[in-house]
Amino acid sequence: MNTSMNRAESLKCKAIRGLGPDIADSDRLPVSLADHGASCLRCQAEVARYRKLRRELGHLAEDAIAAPERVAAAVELAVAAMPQTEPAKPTAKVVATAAGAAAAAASVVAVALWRRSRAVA
Amino acid sequence: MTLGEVRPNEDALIDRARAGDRAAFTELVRLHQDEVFTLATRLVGDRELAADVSQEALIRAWRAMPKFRGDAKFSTWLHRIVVNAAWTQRRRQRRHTTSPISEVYQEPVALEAGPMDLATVSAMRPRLLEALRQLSPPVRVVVVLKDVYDWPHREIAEHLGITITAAKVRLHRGRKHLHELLWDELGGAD
Repeated sequence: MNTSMNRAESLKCKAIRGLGPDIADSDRLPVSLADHGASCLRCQAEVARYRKLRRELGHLAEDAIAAPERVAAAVELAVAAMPQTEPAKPTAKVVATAAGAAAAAASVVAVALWRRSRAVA
Repeated sequence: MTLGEVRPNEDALIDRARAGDRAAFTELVRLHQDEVFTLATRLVGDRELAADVSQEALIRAWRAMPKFRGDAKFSTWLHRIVVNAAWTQRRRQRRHTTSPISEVYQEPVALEAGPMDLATVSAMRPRLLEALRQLSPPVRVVVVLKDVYDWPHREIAEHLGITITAAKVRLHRGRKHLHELLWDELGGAD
């Protein structure tokens, strides 16, 4: 009985080891492994190591390595030597807004002309 | 200035650069060159190559400025260009070098930490950077983009021209390898 229980537990250890790298993305173990994870110190250590690794990698995003001077200088030279880029074309949103505004203005003028023609009549 | 932070007047500079103003673009380069270089260094693992990648990425950014529509943050847009430039650089290296790509990408890089960095740098940082450089380039790129810059798998896969499953497999392998390389620093024996 004990042997089969130990075997089942060791299979769960194996499963957690297999999942190890992916466990770093989640705060929880899969339901089927949660009980084992809560009581197995080896598995807890495994999970903790992967989470620490993930945290340390995440902290690298806060670093800034100073770019060598030549980068900006070379880019500036290259940009100066290049022909002018085509100015940005208006986006669909801008075109739609402009068209809407023109239509509104045209209706105002049309209404004004219609009122004037009625007043004259 | 941390990565992805929006600088004052950046929007105005972007508008002017989109309209073809070189001076405005030069100012944007000045503001973003360190984060571009940092990402490039993490991706290619070599300062000289990273400088080339940064240059190429920033020149590509100038050419593409009129197409920048502001759907994503400028820094995010720039990061995508850096990843593409790094990948192009890698392909070139593979074509022109006779040494194995793993050797080319394993040259040491000095960590240049500023005063603020030094306060936050953990004891394992130098070892972590060294371990990252030991990953194969295809694996390292995925680990850097996912675990350092928090890109979604879908976007990583799109940029690298691989499937989402392949991106996940590379991440799994990369983390496992780092776990082995950093065993002591991560807590060691069970």
